[in-house]
Amino acid sequence: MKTNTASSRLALAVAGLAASVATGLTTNEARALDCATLPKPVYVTGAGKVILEGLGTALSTSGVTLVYKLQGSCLATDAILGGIKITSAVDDPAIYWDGTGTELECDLPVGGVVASLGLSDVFPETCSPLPNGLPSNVGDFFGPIEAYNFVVPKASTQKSISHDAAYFVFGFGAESGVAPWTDESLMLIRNADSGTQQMLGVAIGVPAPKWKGTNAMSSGGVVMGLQTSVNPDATIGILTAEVAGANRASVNALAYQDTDQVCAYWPDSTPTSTDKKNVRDGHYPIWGPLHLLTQIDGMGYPLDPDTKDVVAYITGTKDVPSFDLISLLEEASIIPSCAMTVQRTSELGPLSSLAPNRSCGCYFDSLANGSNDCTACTGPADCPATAPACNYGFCEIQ
Amino acid sequence: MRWVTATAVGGAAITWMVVSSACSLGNVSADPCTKNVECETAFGIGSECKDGYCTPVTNTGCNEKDANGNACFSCPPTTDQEFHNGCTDAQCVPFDNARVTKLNSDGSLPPLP
Repeated sequence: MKTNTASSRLALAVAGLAASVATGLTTNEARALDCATLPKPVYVTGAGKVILEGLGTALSTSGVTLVYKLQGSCLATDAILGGIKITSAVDDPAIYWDGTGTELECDLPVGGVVASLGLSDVFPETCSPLPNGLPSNVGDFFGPIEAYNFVVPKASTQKSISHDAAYFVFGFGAESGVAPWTDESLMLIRNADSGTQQMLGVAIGVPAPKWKGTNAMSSGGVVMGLQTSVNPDATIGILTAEVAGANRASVNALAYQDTDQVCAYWPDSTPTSTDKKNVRDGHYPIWGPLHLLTQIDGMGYPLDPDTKDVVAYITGTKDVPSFDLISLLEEASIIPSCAMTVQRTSELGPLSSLAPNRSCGCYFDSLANGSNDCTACTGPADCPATAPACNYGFCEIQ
Repeated sequence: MRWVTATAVGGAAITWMVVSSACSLGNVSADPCTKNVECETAFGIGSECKDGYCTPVTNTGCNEKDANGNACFSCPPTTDQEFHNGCTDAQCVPFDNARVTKLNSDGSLPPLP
């Protein structure tokens, strides 16, 4: 079944648009407020809702409105690469945020609108083959880091999983031979367009369309299935670290052991901490940057000036006025790239060391752990020669 | 685990095994390897399973034991294997791969159905 092709996703999008028109659920009939009447709307689609919520709230007082349409990573990629319009309907609205952080709904223009920014959890090539790379007029800017987890109910006794075990569990289902994960009804997966399933599929060598298990329909469905399982030990699912982190009361992330590792590591330094230490230093391998896809000019910069600012805010090259994005990310179990010490340039590709400009590792640790081993500072004069930069209140190498 | 004696790497392996203080003859068994992790556990980070036998560790000065008692790489890492196994004070829990019961006889993964 080729559910993961751009053409099939395009067909679904067109069919959805046709259906909404046919049933009378056109955008201008749904609600009173037209998104286009909002101050300087920047149309965004795809993943990354928690980031957009904070950023949209902060920017709303500056005269720019982030209008967001949620959809899967690969559909968002198609929207930018193929210029496929995003649409809204009564039961599938576009949203934006006011200055208090309240989520509000609005109608996209009749017939849809071309998004200026697509957010994807995975590289465009993971969704569809791009033998010639990205089109020259599209840029892929790397944003904060999301880790991906195998997860079990809180009541499960399982603590870890290896690459090979996961290959059998999600590649063979009931025939995995890896006890206690042999009941496909208790293997809570997503679908081929899910960035989470795409990413974990690359990690374990099971292409997303070939996964065995029960489609939980959404990350919320996975959480619900974990929470309500009557057989916790046999139940396993997949989630982003963001969702797993928000549901720590009922969900345990499994430590993961890659083929060349002698031990399995959690994304965090312990099962209960939130420092993402093992992602940041390369021990936990299943992670990737948020991809910000947008039309670019000949110099490689985003074409639209407002979109250019949004990209700069999310990638951390420009501070959001009166807003602490690093704190927002830490609370959401997402890692700002300035807190990483490793990087990669392809989907789960080779790691290399990273010394980020304006590093925020010390600040991130202080947020996650309540303390760090760094020297506090108010300016460079407070910092030693070994860590001369005063970033976010702490001395860093650069 | 034992070192290959009749292949191109055999001589080097034996020499390394004799002179290396990081390797104990007690680690050597007659069982051939099927996975890199078996060699890493027995001989250190950098040892790989090739042609059924472990290759020598090339940078013996970078192999230590971490807080968990596992082999770890203590120098600046440059390969995924070194990043994945860098010395750390983070907690870890090994997965018992004996639970994976349907590997091919050579330790490889069968194709997906």
